[in-house]
Amino acid sequence: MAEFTEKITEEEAIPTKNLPEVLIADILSRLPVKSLLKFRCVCKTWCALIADPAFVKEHLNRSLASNSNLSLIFRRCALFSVDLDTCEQRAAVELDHPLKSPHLATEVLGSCNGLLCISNSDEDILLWNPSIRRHHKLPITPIEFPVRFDSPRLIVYGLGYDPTTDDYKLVRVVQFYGDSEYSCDSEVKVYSLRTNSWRRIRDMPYHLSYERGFGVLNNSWRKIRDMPYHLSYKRGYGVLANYALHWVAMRETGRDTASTFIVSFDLQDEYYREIPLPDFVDDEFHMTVGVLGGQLCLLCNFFRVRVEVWVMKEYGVRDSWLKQFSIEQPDVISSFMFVRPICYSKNGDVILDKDSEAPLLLYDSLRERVRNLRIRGAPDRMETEICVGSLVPLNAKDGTEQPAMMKKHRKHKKRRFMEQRAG
Amino acid sequence: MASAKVFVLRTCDGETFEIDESVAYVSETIKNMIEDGFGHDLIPLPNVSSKILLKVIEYCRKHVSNFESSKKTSNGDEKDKDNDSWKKEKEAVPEVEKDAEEKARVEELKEWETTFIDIDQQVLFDLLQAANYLNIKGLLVMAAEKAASMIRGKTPEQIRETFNIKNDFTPEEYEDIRKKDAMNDFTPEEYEEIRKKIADNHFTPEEYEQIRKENAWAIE
Repeated sequence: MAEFTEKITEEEAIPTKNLPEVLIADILSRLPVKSLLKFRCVCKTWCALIADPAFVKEHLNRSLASNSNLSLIFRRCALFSVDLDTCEQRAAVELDHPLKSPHLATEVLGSCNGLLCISNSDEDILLWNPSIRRHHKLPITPIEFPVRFDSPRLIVYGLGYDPTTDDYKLVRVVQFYGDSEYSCDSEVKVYSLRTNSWRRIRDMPYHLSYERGFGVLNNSWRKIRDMPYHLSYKRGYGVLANYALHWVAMRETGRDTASTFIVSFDLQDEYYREIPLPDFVDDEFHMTVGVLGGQLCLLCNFFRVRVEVWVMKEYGVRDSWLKQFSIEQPDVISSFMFVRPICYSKNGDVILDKDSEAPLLLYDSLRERVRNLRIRGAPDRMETEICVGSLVPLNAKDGTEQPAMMKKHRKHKKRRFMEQRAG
Repeated sequence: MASAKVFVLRTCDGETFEIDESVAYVSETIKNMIEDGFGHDLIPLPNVSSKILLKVIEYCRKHVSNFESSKKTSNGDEKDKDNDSWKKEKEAVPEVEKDAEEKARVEELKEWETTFIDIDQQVLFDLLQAANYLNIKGLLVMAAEKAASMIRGKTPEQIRETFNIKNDFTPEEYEDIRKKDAMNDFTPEEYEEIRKKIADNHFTPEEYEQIRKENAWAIE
């Protein structure tokens, strides 16, 4: 039987009956994970190729660049998923995940490169790749900051990837609110998959906008500008774009007034920065941050009037903010409070989450119209997340420290605007 | 417009083909050869047969004419000229074509591509190798995507036939991969559970069919 030809140079590319390995790898990198898992048993070369970290990376990059291999993940106690490309034809199915329990609701703390961070509580957190069905339980880390009995507490997480160390990191920000409305103390810890350990890092010197908060000890409603915020709303997870996590923060600008801005936490150098905002003409809106197609975006919610979606086309560049579209509150579609973009669909429309309930919204970019997007099998009230199908393994540290992989603290003089990572 | 310059290519089976400079330049390899001074005589392509070169030339000609017509519409710009972006891989942040003429051109191109790449598997593999050797990115991408869609749903055995590969696992290793690894579709326990469910008939007909189809190689 003819054998595989090894990787060959262009000069030697005699047309053979068998494709050279470099072309095989190219073809395989375009396949969904399910097919690749099956094809591991074709032969030893294919098995090794599919497990090769370089191939895993190429496959992931290709999926992200072409907006393919994506699934929508719905969370309502249990987790459900449906392929993005067929979400209107097929029904969502319940996911069998390692934290599944009849008594506990599972949260999705973040989604990055095919890994989901799920938790049933702050002590029970996992990184899970649903495509290859591998998971890794994070060690527990206490909150070191002394708890003041009566001060409300905000705990938010963010999951991301650090390309300089090829590492996945989970950031936990704990904020305690002081006596003044905008003062707070914080404790920030970072978990690294590579070292399988938590590290406390410098505190976050910003007050995170808490209307998406969770874990408030006393079950009260807080108001900003006479708008009550539901505590059942999704936890304020960090939004991942350009290897950084983003949150909306607030600062006092005068007595009883505050302005919101975006704070970023760079996963590479672990510094906090402020993201410049566009010059808004009308600023009587509520602002949240999101990510769309790997690009950071702002949602400006003019309650009961419209929502504007601004996208930062070039990360970090203030002039690159573009008002991509706005959704009016029409009579046809029932009114909404909050809207959050999830992803682009396969033909360029935008899928949005509306008030964490079904149905989703589909914004048709061409016709500039919004319609409902019903997903069969998805729960009526749910939080939505996007997840790419990837082969990214969950190899945590097995006890041996490798100097080459130690984190390099580098102050970045130049930001990397290319290669958005999300989902 | 394109110069009157013409080049002659010779395939491995001795046939010659004349093509314009603009068509020749679609192949980075040929372009480099010409720029290195090898364009005066025949340009030999010992790795490409005449049957395949015909297909390649068809692609290159379409590429050139597509670029010319895109320049005429309001959206025509330099970005389409580059080999690398002609067959634009679907972008994560898609550009919406609002210009009607441009839209029509894109549609026509898509249809042409679908017909062009509707070829049998051996021709496809030969075309893929030629595109790789001749360094024609757009053609390579098109052929690779087609190949991927063709093999996506195949079983491992069908894959071996398609690629002429020998199964070099020992029976034990093979079983190992199938059952042991968590990367498999089923862990042994899950596999056992499924067998039991099948025995007790706990599946709905659709569930059973779905599992059968998805894991034909695991269960049968």
